[in-house]
Amino acid sequence: MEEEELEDEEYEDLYGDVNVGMFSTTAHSPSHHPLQSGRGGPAVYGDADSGGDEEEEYPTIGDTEELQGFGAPKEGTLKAQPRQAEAFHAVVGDPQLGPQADGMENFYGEQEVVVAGPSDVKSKLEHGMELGVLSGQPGKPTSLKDRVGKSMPIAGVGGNGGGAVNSNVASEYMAKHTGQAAESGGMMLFVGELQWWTTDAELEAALSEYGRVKNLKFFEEKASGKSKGYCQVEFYDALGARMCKEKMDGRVFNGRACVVAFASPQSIKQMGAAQTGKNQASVQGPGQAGQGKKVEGGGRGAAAAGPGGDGGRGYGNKQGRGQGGMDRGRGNQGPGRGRARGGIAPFGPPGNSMGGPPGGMMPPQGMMGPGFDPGFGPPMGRGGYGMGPGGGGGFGPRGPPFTGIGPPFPPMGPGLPGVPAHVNPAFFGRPNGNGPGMGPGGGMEGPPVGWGEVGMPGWGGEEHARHMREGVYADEMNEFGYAGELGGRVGPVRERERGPAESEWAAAAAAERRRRDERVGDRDPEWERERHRLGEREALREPRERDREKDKEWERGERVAPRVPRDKEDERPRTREDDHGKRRRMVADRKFER
Amino acid sequence: MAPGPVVNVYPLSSYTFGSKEAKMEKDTSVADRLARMKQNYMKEGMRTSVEGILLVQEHNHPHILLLQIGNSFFKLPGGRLKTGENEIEGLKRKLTSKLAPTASSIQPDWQVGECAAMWWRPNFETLLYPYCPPHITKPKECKKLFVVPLSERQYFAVPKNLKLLAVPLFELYDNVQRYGPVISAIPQQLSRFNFNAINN
Repeated sequence: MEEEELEDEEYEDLYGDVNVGMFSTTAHSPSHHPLQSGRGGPAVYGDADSGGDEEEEYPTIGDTEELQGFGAPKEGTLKAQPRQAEAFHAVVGDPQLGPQADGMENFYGEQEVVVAGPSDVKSKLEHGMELGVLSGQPGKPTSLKDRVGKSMPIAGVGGNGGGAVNSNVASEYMAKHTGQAAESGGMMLFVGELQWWTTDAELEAALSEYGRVKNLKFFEEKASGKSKGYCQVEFYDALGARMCKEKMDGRVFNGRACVVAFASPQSIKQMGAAQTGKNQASVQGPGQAGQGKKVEGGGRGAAAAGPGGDGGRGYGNKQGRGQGGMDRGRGNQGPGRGRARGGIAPFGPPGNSMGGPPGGMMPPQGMMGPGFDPGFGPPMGRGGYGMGPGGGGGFGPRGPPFTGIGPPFPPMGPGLPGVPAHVNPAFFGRPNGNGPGMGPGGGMEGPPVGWGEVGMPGWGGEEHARHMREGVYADEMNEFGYAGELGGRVGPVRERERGPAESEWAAAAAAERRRRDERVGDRDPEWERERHRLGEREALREPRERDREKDKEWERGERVAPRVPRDKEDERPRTREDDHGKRRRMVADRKFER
Repeated sequence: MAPGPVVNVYPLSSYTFGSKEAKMEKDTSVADRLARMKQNYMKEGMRTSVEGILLVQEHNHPHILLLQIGNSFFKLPGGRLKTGENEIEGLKRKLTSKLAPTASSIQPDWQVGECAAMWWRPNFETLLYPYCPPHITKPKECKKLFVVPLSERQYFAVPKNLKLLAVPLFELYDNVQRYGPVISAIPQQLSRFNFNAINN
């Protein structure tokens, strides 16, 4: 296997530049990069480590370790570190620091660095420079120089993942002092807007031009293995990452301009949202959004932006599931809406912090267009939620919602809609509005079982009930009545509404049921007939659903938690089915290693 | 109708099953397994593994021999090839290791037939696909399934910690939940074969 390696000389050059830049002005003048996300604090990264299950559920994120960096502060935190002769290389012009340079001045005087956000105690600085803090102000060489040579406590801000190279102490500091999200040490990037056929080799070749790449992980659809069009890159040093972000952003790969963003929980979600949102196009609907909104309000609480966004989305889904209130008629709207809202909220305070790349906000037209319920207007507008600001940034204007080759119906990844593949769906808490606890960061709670209970009530589609009883095709069926991978993948349109946790639960439930049921020869003709009927599913389902409501409820009875009043039960059938299909897939996938 | 490959399949009763010492899994958890896979990849590159689809028949319906670990995990007999090892030879080695009695006096003569399927592992994860996803240039593993027609009589020694089951194709079909994507897809992959069920 060939390895992508950055020429040493090239690497040295990069470093050399920085060194010089530190003290002279320069080339690296801090561009005013819009700060990536508004929030700082550990909570932001909370959900990034969905860890646990990822290998089984969501392939893409891959190693948990990779996410550690912007996950919750792993190693303790930051404390003023006594004197370490370390140089901080990626200083000048670090986009994350730019605007805050002034603050740094003062900070330098302070001798202590407190870093918010994930930090890894070690900070290894290059070039033997000692810095108390990372300054984004290139034009203040004197002050820096004054500091250099003194041992300054150095905040140990960890990079993500390896933490071998010092990452942005300054960024952390900035986050704390300015409310900006720490950029996870600055070594992790997300590159999105890629074609699904853009290979890892192509990307590595391009990335290597800017620095040595430690890790490259593509986000993929679990059911098919197909690339979602975005990936996570970890450089060995923050400089490389920064250079890459600055220079490679917008580069055309296979006819499509990529987007490069620093990694943060928000950007992950935004990337995911953008990609899936595109796929979903018109599937979004107001119902979901509305639900999501309510839940978000309660659940998000103090949750960090990124997770908040995701959480919001999750909530939206959950809420929908729990209540069955999602407007089914619109198809799977949740993710887009919830996503949009969630994503926006965190950015509220800092204004449009989305910046270019991490747009992630689904273009309003993409999501809201069809079937947009004006009734949701008000909720949308409140609380700083706005589709507009920052919403259309990044991915929005980048291109048509879904230009790739994909399934004919609103394509949806098998995983959670809009949620980065690495996030374990089980981590999304109950939709019961547990409040702050629900935050994605805190979303680690909410065991699938709990989820299941909530979701169960809503379960529609007596087809599903029947399937589950029969057991033979139980795990593969989705709303379209397709068994197998194809159907499973398609299902997501509806499944999205349910959100991750419920799907997982649902899958577990299905699995249980299956085991109980007889498997062989239980197919009933009606069900079989339906299996292959794509569009008619709904029609068939509706009347039957009412009939079987009891059956389903009985079946799921044991898992039913107090249900949120279901206003839209009738319109919900799809959700259940989606979930059904989705969860089956998830269960199946999860259970098997091979 | 174009003739597909013909495979003679004998009844389960024509085979004898004994046991032998336990053959423990090298890894205690999925995470371990993936970590070990990663190490091997760094050293040797893409892993190639081979598995055998051993067929018997009951009631004129083909059954596949599966090893069951614990209560819920099924796998086909087979394993990883050594660096540079020939696939067929490697499979025979693995089959012997898993299913032949330890005493090497009676080494079964395995007849490895066609390759029925190839599955790819794009990342160090548990996910496998019957193709290498287009954006992946360096898959981590390639797993090949070969049909292994059995001779009329054979003696199998099954490790004590495993169970050997003869599972009918209809049980595998569409049953990803229980058997996983690879095994549950075998009925489709075998559908082009003509199985000649021979009854004693």
